[in-house]
Amino acid sequence: MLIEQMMNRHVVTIQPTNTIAHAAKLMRDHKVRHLIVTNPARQVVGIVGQFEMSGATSVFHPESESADFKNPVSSIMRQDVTTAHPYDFFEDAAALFYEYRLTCLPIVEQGKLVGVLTETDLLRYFVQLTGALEPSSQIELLVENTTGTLEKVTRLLAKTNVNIINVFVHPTPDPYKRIISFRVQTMNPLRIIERLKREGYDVLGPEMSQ
Amino acid sequence: MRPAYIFGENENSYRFHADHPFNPVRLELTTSLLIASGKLQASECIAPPLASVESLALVHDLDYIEAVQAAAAGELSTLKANKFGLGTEDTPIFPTIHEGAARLVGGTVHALDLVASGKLERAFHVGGGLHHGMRRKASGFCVYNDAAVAIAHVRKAYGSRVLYVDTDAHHGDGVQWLFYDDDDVMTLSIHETGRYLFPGTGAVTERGNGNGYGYSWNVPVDAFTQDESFLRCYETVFREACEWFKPDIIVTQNGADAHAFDPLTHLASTIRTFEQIPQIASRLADEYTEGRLVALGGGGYDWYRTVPRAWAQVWAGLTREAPYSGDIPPEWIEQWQDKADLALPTRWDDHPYTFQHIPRRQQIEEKNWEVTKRAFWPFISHDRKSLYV
Repeated sequence: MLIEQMMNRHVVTIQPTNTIAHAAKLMRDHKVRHLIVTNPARQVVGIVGQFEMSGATSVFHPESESADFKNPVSSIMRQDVTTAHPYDFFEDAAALFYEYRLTCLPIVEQGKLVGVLTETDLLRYFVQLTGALEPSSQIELLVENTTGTLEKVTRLLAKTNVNIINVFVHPTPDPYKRIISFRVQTMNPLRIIERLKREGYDVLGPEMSQ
Repeated sequence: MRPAYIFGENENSYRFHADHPFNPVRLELTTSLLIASGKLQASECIAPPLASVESLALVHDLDYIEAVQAAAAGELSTLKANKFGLGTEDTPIFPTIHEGAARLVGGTVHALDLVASGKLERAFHVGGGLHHGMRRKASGFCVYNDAAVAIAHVRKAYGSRVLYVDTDAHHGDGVQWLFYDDDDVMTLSIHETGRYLFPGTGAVTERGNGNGYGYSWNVPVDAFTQDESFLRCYETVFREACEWFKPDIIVTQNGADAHAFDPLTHLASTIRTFEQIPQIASRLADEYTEGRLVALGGGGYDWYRTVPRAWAQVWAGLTREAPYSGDIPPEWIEQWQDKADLALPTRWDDHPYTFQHIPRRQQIEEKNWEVTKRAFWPFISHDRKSLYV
């Protein structure tokens, strides 16, 4: 998956010369936690998040608050902005978020801002990856960690004429075992579970005792 | 005023095949049990009319309805069928798929119309409750979403605000998503968690979107939940939903698959849960909607032992009778025993020793109660919060 396919193209931007008061209003009106600061050539020159906004005024000097709000955005924006390219891989963007503890990543092409990716976008994609948003039942198998196991199981599932929406392979505390978790598009997984059990698979389900 | 009982043999046309878990024999079993018990006259049954394409289109896309019609005629390509969730193991194609599904919708539309128009106070459509039907997709044994069409109908015709309460063991996803942005229709679903069970959605965090935020509530309960915990969570969240939403009409979906005998789910209710669910719904309707209440059937895959008794008890609730108790009429057992592969129940209640001890019972109850409170916490008043401290 490329960033281009999942990024948000509607970006709320602000000019460095705009006031902090204007920034606060934009964030409120558009319900966003970041504003990308761009110059007239649409180059990214900074970013303002809630952290920068909270530092714009001093709680020790409430009397100067209205004056502080008239300062330009350039006085509080962060200038060392991490950006990514629309053709970057989703996995690389996720790694950037993780490594630099980002919450928002502007996407830049030919020097110009073209989109933005936020924590929420990333999480949404992860949730979609799990298949949890499509109606499905979950079947989990505890299997040997050897070549060809997944192939054997999916071949069996194909015979039951059920569509697999998603597959996860989870590690377990035992390095020689893995849990394969399938989301399958059926409300009646019983016939599949029975068949898997007949073939000797260890099918996991809700535990009555733990 | 006696409630309407909507059932007709013409509902047999919604039948996938003999081995499919969703089978109309459940409707006949329930109706004959009520008649044998002297609780219903055969002449009271109102056969459901067929819903028009126009009314189906209140919630379904036209190209989907056309695809179902084409499937019925055997003229739908496999590719297109796949796109609409048709021709799968769950919703295989059969010749009367459109007519059967539209018939079930017609029954529920009729039930809601009778109540919303003020002609009757209450109605039961035992064949309704196909809560997985999506805007343009068949899913989980459901083709058209009867409850959603009927709710959209009474919204349009009478402007009624409807509270939909779903106690099927599976999440009522279709109805929820169809009204997810709507603040005039509230959905409340209590179901087994989606950890393993279909459809996987129904987390407590699904609360609605935009204007509809706060008008979708979900209580996912743990596998092996028993009567006491289920009923406590249900009554509490149902009452809070009434307080918050102030509905004009309550619609209940009475899936009977939370029973320990049900083959498809992992909940551990006995018939006591199904005696009490309609009693509580009836009381809350009297308190909050001047009695207006429409009950539907739904899931339930232990056809002979559980479903008929559970659904008959819905009628007891609607007619404000105490739960039926004592012996099951022998003539009903005689009528059906040959067809059942297990011994039919001889009493209305379950024998408690039939059920397994649940070792984690205390943790399950605690977890369910916490999740129940989380479902309504952001929406109740400060005063009501003090009830739970």
